[in-house]
Amino acid sequence: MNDRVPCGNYEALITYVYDECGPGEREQIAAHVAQCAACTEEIHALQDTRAHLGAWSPPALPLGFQITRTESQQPATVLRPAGWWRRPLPAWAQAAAAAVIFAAGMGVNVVRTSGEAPTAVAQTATPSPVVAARSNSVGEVGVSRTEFARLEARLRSIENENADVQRASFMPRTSGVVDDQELFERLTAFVDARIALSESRQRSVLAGLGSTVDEVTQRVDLATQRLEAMEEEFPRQQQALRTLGSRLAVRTSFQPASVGR
Amino acid sequence: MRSDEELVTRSRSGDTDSFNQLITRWERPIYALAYRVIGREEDARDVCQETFLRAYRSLAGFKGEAKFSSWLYRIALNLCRDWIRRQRRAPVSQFPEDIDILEAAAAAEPSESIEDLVARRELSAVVEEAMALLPEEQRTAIILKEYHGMTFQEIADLQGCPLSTVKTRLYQGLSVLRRHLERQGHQSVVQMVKRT
Repeated sequence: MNDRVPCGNYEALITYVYDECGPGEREQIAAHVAQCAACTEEIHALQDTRAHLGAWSPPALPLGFQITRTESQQPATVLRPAGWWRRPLPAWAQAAAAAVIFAAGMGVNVVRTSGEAPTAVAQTATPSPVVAARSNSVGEVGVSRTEFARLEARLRSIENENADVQRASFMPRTSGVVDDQELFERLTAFVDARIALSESRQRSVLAGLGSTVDEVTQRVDLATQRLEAMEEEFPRQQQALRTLGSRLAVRTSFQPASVGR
Repeated sequence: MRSDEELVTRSRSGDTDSFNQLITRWERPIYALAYRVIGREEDARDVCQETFLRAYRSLAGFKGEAKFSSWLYRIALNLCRDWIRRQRRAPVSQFPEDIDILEAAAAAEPSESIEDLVARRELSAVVEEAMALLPEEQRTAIILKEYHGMTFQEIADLQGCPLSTVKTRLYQGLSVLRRHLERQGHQSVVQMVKRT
């Protein structure tokens, strides 16, 4: 080919074979092809291949697709939701309700315990066998050494779980025979310490909750009002949706013409 | 006869009959495109159906910046591409095991002899087999050019590549086809094609 269309320029050959040359380009390529045996052979080969391609036809499958529109489509059934009192509350409302109940329970507990001596508090918060043992000797209540050992193991596990708890050291760290009276005193001291700690924690929690109970109650009331408003609004929205649905009730489907037409 | 653009406008205003006219006009080319790209009759039919369904549902998004047919072709090619990805293999054409003489006689044109019809079908199967050997991009470029008469630029737009890439794909694809046909001993087929 000439300078503008060199031999081996397959883009020019393809452009020529498919006859998509620019102005003057076809004449230039044709002039070159007339003088170049290699390019002439290449173009003939491409044209022969194209001639083969014409023999390939897809199978004559029946088609005849069409869009069918059903005007009489029934509007979608919209189930009326249950009343607001039956519907599940939002997570924040459930949490608020739980906080209110918890706070109320704690408040009752405070009222019941605030006027009593610390020992009375212990009676409501500690297992009765221990309290009973406090006023009686080990032998009088019939507590066996095995039971003491079991209690000791349990208390040790509690002690390990609460590193910040005041340790009563009710048992010596070293193994050995322990006097019953000494063991009882140490147990009592430990239980008292646990009771005192629990009481102080409850008071601190109540102090924090007390200020928020009113606020939470107000929020619950507000949420209830909103739910009631939504309950009143729902029929109007439902009606609007039905109207919109009937307007847009277009059902599309494809069916062969032999069936649908 | 109404133009595609006019029918599209009517379809967008809710006239399903106009869209059905578009389907009637374009379902054969779209089916042929799908069949030649993926090589399976039923799957090509499904692609064709899905193409029109998507087009109908997306009419509101068709701004008319391109021709409606180009838009359809783009949808169909995307669906073909998805199909090929799902198959994760080269398209496998359903080659006929042999030629049924009775069936061929029933399908023969009045002016076509049984021998010519059988030869044409054999050649069709060989070409189909050769096309299945090509990479998807080359095969699609050749299909769009040879069977749908698109310009280089239209193919470049559909395939999202430069013009020069389209020409390269066409040249390389035709070269592979030529070698395959020569290996299959179809030198004489050229004469048969010229005769028909």
